[in-house]
Amino acid sequence: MSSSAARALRILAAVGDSGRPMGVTEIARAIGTAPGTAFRGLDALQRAGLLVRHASAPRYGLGPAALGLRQTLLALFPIRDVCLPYLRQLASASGEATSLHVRIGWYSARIATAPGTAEVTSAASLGAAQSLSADAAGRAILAFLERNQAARHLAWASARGIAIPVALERDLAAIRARGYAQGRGEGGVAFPICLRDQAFASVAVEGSGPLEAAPLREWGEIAHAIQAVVSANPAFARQPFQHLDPDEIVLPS
Amino acid sequence: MNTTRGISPKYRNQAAGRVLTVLAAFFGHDRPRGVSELARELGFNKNMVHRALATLMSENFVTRDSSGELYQLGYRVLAFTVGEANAFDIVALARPYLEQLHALTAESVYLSIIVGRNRVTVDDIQAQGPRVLRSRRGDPVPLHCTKMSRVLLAHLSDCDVDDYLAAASPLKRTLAFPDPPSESRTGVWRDIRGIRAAPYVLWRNPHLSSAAYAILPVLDSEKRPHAIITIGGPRERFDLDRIETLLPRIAAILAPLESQARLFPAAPFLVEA
Repeated sequence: MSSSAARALRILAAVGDSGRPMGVTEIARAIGTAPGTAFRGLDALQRAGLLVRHASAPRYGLGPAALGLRQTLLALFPIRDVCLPYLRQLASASGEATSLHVRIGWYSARIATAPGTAEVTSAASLGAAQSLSADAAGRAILAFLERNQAARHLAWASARGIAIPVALERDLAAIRARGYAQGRGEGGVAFPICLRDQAFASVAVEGSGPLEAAPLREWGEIAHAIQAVVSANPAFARQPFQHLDPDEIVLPS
Repeated sequence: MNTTRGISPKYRNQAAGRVLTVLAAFFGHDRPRGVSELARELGFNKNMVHRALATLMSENFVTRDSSGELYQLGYRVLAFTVGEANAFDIVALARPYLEQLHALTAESVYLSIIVGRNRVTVDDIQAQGPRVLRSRRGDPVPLHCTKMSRVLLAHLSDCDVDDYLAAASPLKRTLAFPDPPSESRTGVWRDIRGIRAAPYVLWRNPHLSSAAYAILPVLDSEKRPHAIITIGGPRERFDLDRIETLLPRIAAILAPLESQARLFPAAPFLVEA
């Protein structure tokens, strides 16, 4: 493998993961190389349109080619286009930002959002990934996988030193019983989207205040409508990475 | 966008340049790609492409597809976080225009979209005063019921309209007030043909005497509907004559929104919902 190519990809990953423009020194530190060496990788990435150098400050952010690749990848999830109108309806009904999360390995990744309409609402970044047990969106998926999958997830998380929430098994049982997951400290509520009783995605109303029965029923009906669409069109559940071994998938979280 | 042309053949770091060129070649491809196809397109030999793919796979920017023979973008690309939400969100995009329309007319303004088989109002600015138009945000209304819904329905293809009417039959009336076109397929189709003949719809219910509306579709480049914007108010101050007078200014306000909306495809219509 070319070390210059691998270094350029690690630079791209560092800038892409940060979600903000980075300077040369900061990038060099992030990938463990000298600034001069990092600069050569930055040059190659700029030439390919994957990074851009901001005119106002010597910092680098994702370029049009990188953003285009991400859009290309998002388009590989047909559930995304299906869900967007429902996310908007849910955002309108709740006032909160809403989002669609898909399972990728042992993570849930946010692949679509609709902004909230309330005066105070959550900011939800696309692409953000969390371990399936970390938040309501992931636990809504984890609870509706085959029982042995939860055990595999726990083994995977333990092997990587990822913290497991206290009383996870009891929480998953409660989610299965009521049909949705509630956030703990992070707030929010999430509804699973299943194909043949196996969850592959979830729809979340991001962090919000105390939950009441009435809006939950209304939100649940919207999630149920998405579920009906998927049940009638199983192709919408197609995912580009479901053939990969989940234990091998590693995402920054 | 040509994402590959920036790589100079004379670039001193040719191996890195080749790998990044192969990565960029996945842009816009929703189907997995093969080594031969990439080599032909990029002018590299197959061995070069194979080595570049191996490097990209080692960092998870590319993975093998489910057949094991072709390559697709890898999950590492998904982890690129960007501060902004979706590049196109009709609610966020339309909000400033709703505010301008409300400032112009002082009447209630609504943004409605298709959700499943219904029209749903997802944003609004309510007028203030003793007599104003009220509509509850979030309530689903079947696409054949009300003029507002039928404006959305009218901008779907004939095939989509037929599929909707078949799925929604027998056509239910969910409204307390009279809406004769919603009562039969013939009535819905007749109304749709009238709506399609005009770029916007000015309407007041002939069976009531309360309110008048301007209903303006927001369409993509293929004339499919993203949404409708409705301005409505009590007829004593917002009748069709006044709306006609305001129309040039309304059109001027909405022109930039219409241009932006044409750049993005509207959501698919899914009659099964």
